[in-house]
Amino acid sequence: MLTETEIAKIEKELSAKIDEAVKFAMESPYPAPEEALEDVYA
Amino acid sequence: MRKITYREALREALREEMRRDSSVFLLGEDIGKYWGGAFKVTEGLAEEFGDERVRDTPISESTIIGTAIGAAITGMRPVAEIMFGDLTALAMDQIANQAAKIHYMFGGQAKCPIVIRTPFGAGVNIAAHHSQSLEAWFMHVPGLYVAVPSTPYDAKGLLKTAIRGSNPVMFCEHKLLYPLEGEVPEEDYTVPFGVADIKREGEDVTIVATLYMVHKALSAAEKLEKEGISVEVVDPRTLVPLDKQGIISSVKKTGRIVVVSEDCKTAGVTAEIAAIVAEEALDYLDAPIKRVAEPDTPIPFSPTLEQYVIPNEEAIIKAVKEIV
Repeated sequence: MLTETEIAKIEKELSAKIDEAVKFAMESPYPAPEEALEDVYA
Repeated sequence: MRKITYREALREALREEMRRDSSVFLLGEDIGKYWGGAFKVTEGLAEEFGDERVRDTPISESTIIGTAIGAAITGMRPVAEIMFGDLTALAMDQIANQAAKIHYMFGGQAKCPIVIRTPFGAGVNIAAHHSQSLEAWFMHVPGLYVAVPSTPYDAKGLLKTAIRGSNPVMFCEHKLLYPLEGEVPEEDYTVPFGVADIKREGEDVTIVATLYMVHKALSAAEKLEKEGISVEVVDPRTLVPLDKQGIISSVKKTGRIVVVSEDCKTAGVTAEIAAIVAEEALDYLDAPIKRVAEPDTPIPFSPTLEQYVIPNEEAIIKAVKEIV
């Protein structure tokens, strides 16, 4: 079983990861419009 | 004439048909008094008609349509709402293999008068699973009618025809049209299926468009007029039955056609209409048929990417200029 301390640690780590991802997204430029046509097939 | 929104026009059609005929009832997710529908079309109807006739359902599209089919066969006139057009995929067996085929398989002895209202269309950044235009899926299934209203007037009149008819109808709405205002008479009227409407008269080129694309075609036509190009905009209003003669008559007059639809280009609405014109009206054409449609991709989330794939006014103008 996870202890309260372990749960808090995981939540803190995940929260930091999410903050980092949001920061990356907000700071990134919009993609080039033509990228809409990529990745339809592997 | 008074003006109301597309959303209000749909709601009026539902309200008036429910008052007129006690066999008409509604079912769908969140359509009742707690929410009034994801796009608020059914707002206030549960208060007037009660929970029995405006039924909130579990989140199971297959069950919604299956229930509607059973009710219809036994004499009711259900109007089902599927919250997003994309989610009709979850009910496809009921729609395509059951509703569409019941009259045929029972040799005409059973009818399935259901109306399935659902919004299609992109443009509000809700990505690949909530933005598709899938009208062509249903055009491919004999036994279904496919309505595609572009104005409040057509929305109300076509919905009444759908409810009063004897067949299953895919009633395709467009998310961006709900707030659109237009003239709608106070008195009872219907719009027949299979009769195209000329939304703008012109001489040099025909644009056939449906749903939200009708409005993009009309604004493109206005700009082209300033450059001396006279555009006729034809709105089929129902894709099944399709007013082939209405489209061909316009082509006879103009000699040129651009077909515009928001769905994917391959095997889509534009493919069908272009093929009909090529088969049945080639001799009247002075230039190749042009199509403006979504490239064959899912609808992306990013606003920049989404706007890139949705057919726009510039693409329509370019297509017209290539053949005039």
